[in-house]
Amino acid sequence: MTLNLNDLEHSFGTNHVIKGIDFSIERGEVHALMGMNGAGKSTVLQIIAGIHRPSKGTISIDGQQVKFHSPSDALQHGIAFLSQEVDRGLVPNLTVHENFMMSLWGKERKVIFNRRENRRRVAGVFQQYGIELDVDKLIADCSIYEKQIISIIRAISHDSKYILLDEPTAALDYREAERLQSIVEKLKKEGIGFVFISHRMKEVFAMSDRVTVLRNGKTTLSKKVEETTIDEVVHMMTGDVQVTAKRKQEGREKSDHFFKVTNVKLFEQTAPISCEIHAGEIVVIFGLLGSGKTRFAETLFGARRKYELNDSGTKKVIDSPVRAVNEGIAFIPEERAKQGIWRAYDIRTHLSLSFNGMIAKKKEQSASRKLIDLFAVEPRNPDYEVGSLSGGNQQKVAIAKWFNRNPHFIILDEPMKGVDVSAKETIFQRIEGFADEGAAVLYFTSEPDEAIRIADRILIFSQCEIVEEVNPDHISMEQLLDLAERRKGHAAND
Amino acid sequence: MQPTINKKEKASGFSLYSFFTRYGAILTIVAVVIFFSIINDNFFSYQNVSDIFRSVAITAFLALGVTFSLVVDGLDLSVGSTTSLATMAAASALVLHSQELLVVLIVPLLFGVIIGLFNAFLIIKVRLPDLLATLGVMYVVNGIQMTYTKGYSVYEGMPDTIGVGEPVGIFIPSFTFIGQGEWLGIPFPVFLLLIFTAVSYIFLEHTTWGRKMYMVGSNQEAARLYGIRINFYKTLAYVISALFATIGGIILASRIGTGQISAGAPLMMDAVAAAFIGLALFGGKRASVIGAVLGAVLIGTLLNGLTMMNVPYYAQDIVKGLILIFALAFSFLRK
Repeated sequence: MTLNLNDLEHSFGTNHVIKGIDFSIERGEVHALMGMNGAGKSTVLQIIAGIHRPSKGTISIDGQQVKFHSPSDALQHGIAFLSQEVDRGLVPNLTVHENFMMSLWGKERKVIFNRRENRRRVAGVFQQYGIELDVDKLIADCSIYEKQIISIIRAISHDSKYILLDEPTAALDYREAERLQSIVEKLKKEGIGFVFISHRMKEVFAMSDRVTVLRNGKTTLSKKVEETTIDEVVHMMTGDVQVTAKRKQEGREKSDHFFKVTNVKLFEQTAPISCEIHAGEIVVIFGLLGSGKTRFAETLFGARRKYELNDSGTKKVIDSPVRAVNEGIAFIPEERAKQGIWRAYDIRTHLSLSFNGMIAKKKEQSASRKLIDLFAVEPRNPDYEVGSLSGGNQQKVAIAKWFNRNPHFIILDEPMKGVDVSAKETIFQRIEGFADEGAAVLYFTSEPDEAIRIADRILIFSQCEIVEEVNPDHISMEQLLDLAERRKGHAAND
Repeated sequence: MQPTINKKEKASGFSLYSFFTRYGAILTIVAVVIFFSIINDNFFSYQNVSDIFRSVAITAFLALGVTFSLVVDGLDLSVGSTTSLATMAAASALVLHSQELLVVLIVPLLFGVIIGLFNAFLIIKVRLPDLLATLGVMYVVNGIQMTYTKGYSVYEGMPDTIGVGEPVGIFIPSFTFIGQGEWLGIPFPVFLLLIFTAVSYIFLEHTTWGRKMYMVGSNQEAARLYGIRINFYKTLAYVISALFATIGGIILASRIGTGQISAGAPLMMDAVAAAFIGLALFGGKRASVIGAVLGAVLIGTLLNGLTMMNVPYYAQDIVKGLILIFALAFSFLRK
């Protein structure tokens, strides 16, 4: 009763993401998959779920080799995949029981159905697992936790034997996470095999039977939980190379120019936040997924609520992104494709956004060329469509488009998401360049290596508030993760 | 991957495929003209061509308006009613209230601005979907122009059916010149169309404001997070849309010399079709004013040709619909 991956390899274009991985899921076992950003965790899950076809290697179930051409193929073989966006696969304006039955109708080939009978059946299933849930509730009114539970239980009633969870607890508060854990425990005993990705060490050690660590597309550790320790796992995740702070603190004087916010609230009920950042400084806001950091970043850019910014003593009310831009604030949002670029437009259009009046093509082209060289955008052609660039180059354009506006205060939210290693260092250096030229940089991330690499100061962010300030020179990645996790009580609905 | 392919084609010089996608609309128009010229000797006469362009000009103005709404990723369905209101407002000002040219032009244009602002208000502030908001406004505006004249058309020497006193005003010559006059052998409406098309083209393609308008339509969230005033650009687009519809209405009133009830209603469909035909056949991935005008020319030419071939008016919608379907299918298959 095993699902096996043998010598799996996969590349996206020239980017070799998975370089030979052996992996197995036993039924009745929880297998944790860990690794840093870009280690290949999600890709492995997506391959098992039939979303990608591996370039090399085989998948077999109970010794029988299988090939998945689509996610529904994988589902036929009893593999259910729950991505981070739990809404996928649920219809928001139908009730819980209707959503639940949708998949069963396909299986039972029923056309006519009895509503009361369905409700009874679905309620029965939930009862069986000791889950309290109103089956008449609309999915749109369900919490993330409820949607997760519904998806999991539905998968099981659909005869799924292997369930793949991508960061299931990231957006849950600790009580919900515990309840999810007990449900997983129950299902495990029924012979369901789980794989889950998580960044939270303690959770991994509490929930799982086995843990596999990936680094740069290779397995670096695969052990029973009893045989390993948190230290060992973190060490295997990060490798021997210790990331060290690269910013030189000495010899730099604090500028008189500063930005300060006092008592900003992200939500009506959350604690007020205060912080200060000086020109020339790079401050990292380090928070795990669901800590509310994106909300914080958007708030500072005026995209959420009105707040007051103290710009070196002058009070400025920021109530919209338009106002924020006029005050010299720049924002590089997390969802690059949706929020940061225009896929159908060429590089020149992006880099000439600050121009006004008649379009002077020649001038724009030479201005674009300068920025393309400065940011090392490939290909170095201003007429190239941004949607066809690689993730890293798209991000370079997304950041470079602010350059000509000379922003004084730059907010970056997870700027390295989906950025390949080669582009990372260039982008780091450009961000440092902004700071050296006198901008205040606020860098939001959940990746400890990035935080230590780029920060002058690190502010730990949890539950929509800043809980601690640390010096990147004197902290390790493990300590950083630990600090961010420790304060985790209940999460924001971020 | 599209751009790389295009690049290669450009490098290799001529490609039949890109030639067709780029000049689809023009080629189709040329083919249609040749076809009708062969069938009917009178088709390519000065009189007929000038007639075609006079009627095309009105549809084209509406299509320009629709194009501006398409640029911000919306669709303005209220242009037809706005045209009707403009026609009626101009005719009423002349006939019922005996006003001079300036007032006759300003009143409809003012209504146009109000309609545009109201559309923008519904879409931006009330957050109605653009299609439904402008559909609602379409009905309201149509109702207003009918209510004002109690459902009667307005014409010189009409009886006092409306109850504002004996209508004594006339369609003054300076007003009728707009729709019926000629300048250097070019019908005046065509002249107006050329000017406004050129201005729109320069605005959309050669100024950063026009480009930002496109960018708002292309990715509103990215535009918002770059501090582009998306509400301003959307409002501007809907006001321009209504203004173009108003100009269409003024030309219409001037051309037929009466204020026909709901005269703009059939034009709305033609304008939307023209804008989409332009979008589909003019090679670009985005709405363009040139495409919209060419789309209107194509529809106008076809209708004229079909009429000369004695195809009854009631069958012409079938042809219009088929062309729209063909054009859209062509552009979607290309994607």
